[in-house]
Amino acid sequence: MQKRIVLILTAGLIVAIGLLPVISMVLKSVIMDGHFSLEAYHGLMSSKRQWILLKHSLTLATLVMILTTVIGVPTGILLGKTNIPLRKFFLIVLTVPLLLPPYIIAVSYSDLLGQEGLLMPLLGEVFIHHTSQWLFGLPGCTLVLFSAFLPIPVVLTIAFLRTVNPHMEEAARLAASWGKVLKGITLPMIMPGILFSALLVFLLTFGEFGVPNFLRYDVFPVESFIQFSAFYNFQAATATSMPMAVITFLALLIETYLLRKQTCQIQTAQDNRQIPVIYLQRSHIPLTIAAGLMALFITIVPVFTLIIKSADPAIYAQAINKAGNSLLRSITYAGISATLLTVLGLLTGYLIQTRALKIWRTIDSLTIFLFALPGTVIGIGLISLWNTSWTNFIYASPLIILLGYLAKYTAITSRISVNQLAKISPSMEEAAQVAGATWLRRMIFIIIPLSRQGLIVAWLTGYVFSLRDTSITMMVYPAGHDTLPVRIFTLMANGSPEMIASLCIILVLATLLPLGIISLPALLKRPE
Amino acid sequence: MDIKVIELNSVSKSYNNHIAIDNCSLNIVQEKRVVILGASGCGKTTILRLIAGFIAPETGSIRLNGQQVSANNKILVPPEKRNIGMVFQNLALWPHLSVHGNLAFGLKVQAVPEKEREKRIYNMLKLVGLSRLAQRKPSELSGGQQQRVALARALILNPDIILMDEPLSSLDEDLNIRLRTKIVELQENLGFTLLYVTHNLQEAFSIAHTVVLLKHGRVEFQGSVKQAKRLWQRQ
Repeated sequence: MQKRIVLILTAGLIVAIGLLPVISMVLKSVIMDGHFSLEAYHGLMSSKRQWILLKHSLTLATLVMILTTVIGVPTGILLGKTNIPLRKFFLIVLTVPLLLPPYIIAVSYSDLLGQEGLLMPLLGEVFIHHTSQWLFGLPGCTLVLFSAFLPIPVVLTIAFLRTVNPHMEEAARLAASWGKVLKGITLPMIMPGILFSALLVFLLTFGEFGVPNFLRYDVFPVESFIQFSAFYNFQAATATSMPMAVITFLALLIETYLLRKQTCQIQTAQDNRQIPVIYLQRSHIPLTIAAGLMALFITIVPVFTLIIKSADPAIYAQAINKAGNSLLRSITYAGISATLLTVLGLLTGYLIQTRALKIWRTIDSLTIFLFALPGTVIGIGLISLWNTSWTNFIYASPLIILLGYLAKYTAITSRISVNQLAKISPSMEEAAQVAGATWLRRMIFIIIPLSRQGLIVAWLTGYVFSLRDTSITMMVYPAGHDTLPVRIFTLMANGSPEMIASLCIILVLATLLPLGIISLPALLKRPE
Repeated sequence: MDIKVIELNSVSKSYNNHIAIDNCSLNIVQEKRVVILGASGCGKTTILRLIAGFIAPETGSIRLNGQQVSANNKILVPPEKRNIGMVFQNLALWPHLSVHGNLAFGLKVQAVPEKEREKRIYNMLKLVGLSRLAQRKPSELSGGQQQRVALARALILNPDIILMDEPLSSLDEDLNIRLRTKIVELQENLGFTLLYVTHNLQEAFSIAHTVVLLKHGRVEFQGSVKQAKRLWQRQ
């Protein structure tokens, strides 16, 4: 009974936080002056500009999806399945862009290749003029978002490679070289995972707001933001959001019906032996160089550009002065959000893993839909639901920001929990149950301790995503409660490139702070 | 008069259109050792899980000590209220708790005072021969020692019924024999009703008062060890 009540409340919370705002948004977009009206949609469909925006969004998303998949999957195989040296180093370095709001990468490329960029003295004004033109538009957006989202197929490919039963590959190796085995056995087995990661990149790019806005490439999320924040045209903003919601929903249907069963859980293959490794011989030098170059251009160059641009300590002092309070707010909100996301993720993950309620599949799909939904859409939905006199205490407070993070990122912490709970034998809980423990007691004394590692990972992931969030926060933050990513974004219009760069570095450090704290005991532990 | 402790009346259970238990009726008498024997996949574990209350029978009913606990797809009495101890096939020892902690858990749930709790844990560990290993974690124990901790944990709450799901399957023959003897000894001294599941004929005959042969989810035979041996010889 206890379990049922708590899990029903959990499901109810997810519906209230995530689905109700979307429903409210849709309803308000079709009700004008108390009457049903499709005028906003009519305006949208008949506007040539809107179709151009849709084309831009789809083009950008498709390009980034193809590039990240074509390069990311082989990189994942290289780092996850071969004996290339410095594998872990390359993997860590290549994953760094995931920790940052993508627009920071855009800022660093602008600092490098822009009119006042670091390469200007080297390459000359004429060359820089061309690179600058190229950067501010589709090619630049593609490059930046490729860098930002490349870690997704890399990490997911490595994870899915671990699910392949080693015996399958070994049996094939008796008859064929590694190239043929990868092509004929391994890749087909992990294809659902590859397609899932491609779909994820597509949706994240489609909903990306910060990078196209900075690089002046007009896409749907930007338009939605402008309609709301500049023109206060709520109906137009909502109508502009609807194509994004529809495309997300369609993509989710594809994922549910074609890919879900095969990609639901990433569990290591039952056989405890190590996965077969491809021993590179002559090719290990060029491949190591290739991996090194990738790490250099994807992560090292952008980060170092920011560091060089902000080299003056006085700049940091100025930056802290300008944005110190928003930094504190960012860390606080991200910390609170991470804690709430971990709890909600654990309960949702438990609901999904144990199938404790009949609606487990619906809740799972809902969390994924909300994750894939562009942040601007979620933001508009939250405003639509909570902007009333009765709920002003939520709307006008940081609570609304937290609600946005919970809506968008519960899918991540719940999936981490599902994978962690899948490793715990059900008999662990059952043994406590026959000993007389209530469900709550079993959760506190058995499940949570056994899930400790997963919960830490969930907290850190929730923290990173909440800290780096821009699109939701930009839409909903109450006056005086802006976060650092939002402050940087607004300062980009009139702040000096040096100060912006220093704020970006401060944001990177704030992101890495809990990772550093948690890793400290392991680093300080003396080897036995 | 023999008191029926466990009664299964026309119980059926299926998973994904596969019938695990098919119209099974079983009566188990107090203070007896009943062994359910059958090949892998015949439904032995399902019967234990039905009795424990982790799953509900689709049809039929289950009574424990005369009280109806499950019937027609409903669990009327949850597992924590059935006063059952269970030794799982994978033992399910909590890795983050020591031997002492594994035994103390159930006693703490029942709010047994600390002094009484420590006394019971000490006595139980002495009974299973693990007094010196109280502070060790399960991962620091041998297979046989883990087995005895699982047994001790099941017994410490003084349950009426102990369910054992192939508890000795992963042990070598010598250890298997020693632990079988220990289980029989404990049952005779403490007087609980034992329902033991195995696919091992020798194990079954050495432990049981009554043997139940399960095949494709149905009870094919229920009788004494002597009767069971005659049946095997004929076959």
